[in-house]
Amino acid sequence: MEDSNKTRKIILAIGLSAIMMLSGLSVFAMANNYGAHNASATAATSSSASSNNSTLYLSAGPSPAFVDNFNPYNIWTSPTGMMGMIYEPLLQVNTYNGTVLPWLATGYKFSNNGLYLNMTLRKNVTFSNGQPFNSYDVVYTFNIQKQAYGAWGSIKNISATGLYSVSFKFLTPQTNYLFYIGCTAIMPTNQTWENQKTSSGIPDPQSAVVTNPIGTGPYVLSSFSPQRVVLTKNPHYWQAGLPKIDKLVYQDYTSGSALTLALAEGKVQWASVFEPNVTSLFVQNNPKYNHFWYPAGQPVTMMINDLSPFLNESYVRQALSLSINRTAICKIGEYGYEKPANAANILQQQCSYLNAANKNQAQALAQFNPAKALNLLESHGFKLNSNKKLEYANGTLVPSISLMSVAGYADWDTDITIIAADLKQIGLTVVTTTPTGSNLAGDIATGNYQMALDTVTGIGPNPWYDYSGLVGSVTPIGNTTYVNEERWNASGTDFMSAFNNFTLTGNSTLQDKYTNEMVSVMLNQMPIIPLVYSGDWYEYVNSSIGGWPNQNNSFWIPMPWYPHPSEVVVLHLYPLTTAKSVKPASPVVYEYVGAAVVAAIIAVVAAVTVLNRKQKKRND
Amino acid sequence: MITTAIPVKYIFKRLIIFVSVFFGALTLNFVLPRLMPGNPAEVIYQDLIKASGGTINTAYLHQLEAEYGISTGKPIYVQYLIYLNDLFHGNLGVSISFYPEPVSAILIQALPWTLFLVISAVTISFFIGNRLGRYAGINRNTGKDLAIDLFSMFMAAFPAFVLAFILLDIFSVYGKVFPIGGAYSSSITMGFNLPFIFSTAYHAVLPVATIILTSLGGWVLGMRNNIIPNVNSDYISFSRNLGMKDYQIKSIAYRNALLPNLTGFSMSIGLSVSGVIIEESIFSYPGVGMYMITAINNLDYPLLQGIFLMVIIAVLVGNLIVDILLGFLDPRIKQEGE
Amino acid sequence: MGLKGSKSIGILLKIFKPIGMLLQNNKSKAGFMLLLSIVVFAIVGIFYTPFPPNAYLFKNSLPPSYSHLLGTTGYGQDVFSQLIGGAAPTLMIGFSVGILGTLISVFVGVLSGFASKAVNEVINAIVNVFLVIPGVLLIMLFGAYFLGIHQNLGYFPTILILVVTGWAFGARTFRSVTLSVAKRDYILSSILIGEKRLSIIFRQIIKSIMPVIVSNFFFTAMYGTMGLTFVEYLGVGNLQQVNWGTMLYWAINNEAYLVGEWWWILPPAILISVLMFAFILLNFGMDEIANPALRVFKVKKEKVKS
Repeated sequence: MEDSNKTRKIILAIGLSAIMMLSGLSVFAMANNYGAHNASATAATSSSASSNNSTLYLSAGPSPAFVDNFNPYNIWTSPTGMMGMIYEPLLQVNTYNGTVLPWLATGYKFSNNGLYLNMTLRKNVTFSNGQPFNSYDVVYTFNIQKQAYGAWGSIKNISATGLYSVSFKFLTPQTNYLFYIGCTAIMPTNQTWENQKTSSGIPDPQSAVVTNPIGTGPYVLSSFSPQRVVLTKNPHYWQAGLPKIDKLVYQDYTSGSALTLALAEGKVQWASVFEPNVTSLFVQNNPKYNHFWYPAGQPVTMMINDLSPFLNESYVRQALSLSINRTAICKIGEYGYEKPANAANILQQQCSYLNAANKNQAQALAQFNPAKALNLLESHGFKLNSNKKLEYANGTLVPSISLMSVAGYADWDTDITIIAADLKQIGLTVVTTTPTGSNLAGDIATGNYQMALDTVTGIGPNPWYDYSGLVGSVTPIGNTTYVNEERWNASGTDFMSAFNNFTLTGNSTLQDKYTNEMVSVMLNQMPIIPLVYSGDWYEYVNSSIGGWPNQNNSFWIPMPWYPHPSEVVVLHLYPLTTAKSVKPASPVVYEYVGAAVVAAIIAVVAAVTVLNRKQKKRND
Repeated sequence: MITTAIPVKYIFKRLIIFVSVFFGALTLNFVLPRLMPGNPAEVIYQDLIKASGGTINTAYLHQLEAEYGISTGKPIYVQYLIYLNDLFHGNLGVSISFYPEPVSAILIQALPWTLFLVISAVTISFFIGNRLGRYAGINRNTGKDLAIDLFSMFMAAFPAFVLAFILLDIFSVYGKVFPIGGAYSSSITMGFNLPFIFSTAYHAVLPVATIILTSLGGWVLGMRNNIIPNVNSDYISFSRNLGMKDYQIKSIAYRNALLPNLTGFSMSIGLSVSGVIIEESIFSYPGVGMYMITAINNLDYPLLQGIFLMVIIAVLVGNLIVDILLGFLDPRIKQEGE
Repeated sequence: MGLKGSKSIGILLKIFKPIGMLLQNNKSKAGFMLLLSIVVFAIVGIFYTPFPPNAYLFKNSLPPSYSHLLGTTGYGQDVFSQLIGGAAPTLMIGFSVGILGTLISVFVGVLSGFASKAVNEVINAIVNVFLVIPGVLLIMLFGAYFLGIHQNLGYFPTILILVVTGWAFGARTFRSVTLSVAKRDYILSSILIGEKRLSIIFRQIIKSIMPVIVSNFFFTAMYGTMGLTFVEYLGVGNLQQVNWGTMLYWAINNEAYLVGEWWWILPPAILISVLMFAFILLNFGMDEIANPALRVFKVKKEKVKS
């Protein structure tokens, strides 16, 4: 009996320790094989040259982990925005106000009435592997995208007209392509991964995994782990004396609150995170250094299916716009960080393009006024019945309308309840649902929706780009489309002619005229209803690093997740030599303290157990 | 009579159950994502259109769809065979939300962390719970018993993720004793070195403690209810009359009560995995739970399937190991098998 | 007819006798009282809430005061109104999951107790699949599916998800209990007498395992309540509904725990745990009543006394 017990005990012990060891080993196996790796050094270490070894800790926002892939075709790979530090575009464009900075291209010119775009390239630029940059890299970059997935459909061909000049020929004049072409990351020719092909032999550089990125940017990859990416200064960078910050450390935070707490303690100095309690959790922790600036971004719009009955009338959409209390949405749903949008559906920073008449109309249509909305509906024969429900002229009830937002977008999910309550005042029954993001996108694409919150306007330096996603042929419900998802029929208005004429000219006075023609049609028709400007979340800590953009010095788009603008911001930053660097207590110290606490607990438990045993034995 | 002879028949039976459940899970894994609405290829395609501003061929959409095995037009059983074939070659496809990262690479990164949490939590909770249950059962109907029972019941009743938030708040945000998140301090290089081991243990304290606290109740109450009939049974009175020492009697009763409690292991592993998956996002722990939420939001079928499959395989293997251990330990099971 | 009616009432009385037994055990008595008070709270909430629970009427994040007993949420809703108004749906989900889950598991368990060996193995395998697969995975998959089809189905998807993930525990219990009951002499004699199988199941088996059924009902109801918080926390429920799960979701999403708005996160957390605690107490107490081994001590003592 005693013997068998011992055997059992031993087996149990062996089994359990085997399980424990297996689990431990699996972690270490991963640690050794798949975890961190150091990029094969493409650049000499640069920090020795600089006396002040400055490091910027940043986070583009919460994400589960970083992806060990630096393929420039996937410029949005997590950590988002980091690719902009390694790869550079031809031009830097500030989409807030349309400012264009020459970057890898020193100049551009349209010729033949916008049919050709000629770009002059910068000399003396080298990639981080020493390869010189010239027009062949540019031609290569665009051609391989054309081949691989049929991008750049409007470009007939791209040719090098000299070692430092490139010419783009369009099928029809396309002055608007300057922005698209200018913002494309340029990569060097002759990289092995660019020859990646699919099983069917089509070039597929997009799906290649690139662990050793080579670009012209101010930083090069130093080390990667799923929780941390370190970039160091590119010693061959073409802008003399820049960058002034030696090292960028992208730190992974998996939740917004963890990132906010790290920001508050200065462990992260540059971030973009939506934080409902930013003042109490972040700023108040260190008001001298902790700051935020939330410029207005793309409008959040209520997409409307313009083919669905009742909603297919422009006056109905105007009435809906009038009966939504945008101030309440900003205050309750968006915590006051986002501003009410006007009805023109363009970026707030671009409102200066509007003429007075359009400006007033855009304001008036976004003003909360349910009485006016009701009047508008009643003037078209609708009426409220005794139950305060809206009826058609013939007495049939207006059926209930569905309104969707994305599950988990807490602010949007609140917004739709507010909208539903607002629309009840004009006698409409709104049923709200919250599907997942991709389901919502799919439903909008196929037209299986009535109303939904979304951000659909394009991004670009002027209103033309904002509208570019809203036009196109009307796709029947059930068929998939990714432009004109609201299925707005613009024919019969001046919109399309203004829209097309805009791209034929580079003359800004003429473009302004076309812009206002488009805006005026947009306001009359209201194919979709803008609600609020989304916030471009941006927080920074200026204890050891200065030069940040803010509301007083809004020189550039400030979010770290925006690939190319983030590079411009980083090049403006400089280490503050006077400020004593706020150094968070070394985490390693905490580690040992923590480990000691755990060890002490285990020791106490073990001691008590042993003493108990002895006591028992003595008792016998 | 009791030897360590291998209960072959029993293990064989377990293996058959293992394989059948495994195939059940495989099939479920094949069917469920295909029931879900939406088309992930469109999501990637849409992103590309938005990023490049230009027009992209719809041919590329079809290429993407083919890549993800969506609407390939092949009959469902062919798709199933392709799915099985891919699986046995370790090919879990390419993630959509982390495009073009292969799913297997993500899982290799994430799964060990989840397993590490689950295994440490289940083991520690098993030992503490059983000791507490033994104590309560032996001191039955006393204040100590009542206190332990009520405590473990209340902990089992407390929503696990709220407890996680409370612990995080007290110990990390205000107390600053434990880290706010992560699996190890990012300033430490991963590898087999002392700082990394310390760091890992230190970061695991709160997540593991949460799961221990919430899963303790099951073991405590199970053990208590198992040991009471044992303490009151005839063989114990008999032994006492034979003059056996009290602690010896208790440990015999304990051992006999332990074995039936072990059969609760499969349920316990499943529940702990659930708990870990939910808590990972709270403690910013880089395990599969974090990826799971991302995968759901992005309709990332391949990743979702990969996680689903790997978690189930891990749970099944865990159960198989426990079952086989039980076969060695429990004479009754051995008899059943022979 | 009349005779038959009174007879069936008698059977019903016998079947529900164990509920009366609830009050014999201190733990289940305490659980019953807790549950009763929550039920009363919920019933009040159906007919009266101080303010509309989901309306944004007040200033954000007000601490508790006389006019707002539990303060207001970060969106300006009255927390107490949400708490009392959300009680009924929460209870409803707990009870429906408990009832439906128990019905399925009794059916499966009793069926497997009487079925042939092959059928039995199949049932066993299915039960094992559901026991082994971590519930959260299924909750997420099913939840995402229902979010995807986004029909307004009220609480139906939530209940369905929780019943699907929650029935297997009970089925395993009932299977083993039925197997042991079915072997008893009086059942064998009934079979020999020629009583119909269905009649045996209902008259004998169900009656004799009634305490286990009641105990399992409370366990599954507890699972349903806990599952509701999971469903809402993972964001796969309908967040426009007011219940204690969604209250927790919104409080956590707004980091009420970080900024010290305890009045928003603690009340639903505490009430949910009290409700689950009540279910566990009832479950545990019923177990003590149902399991003769746990009663042995008392019986022996009485015997000695007499």
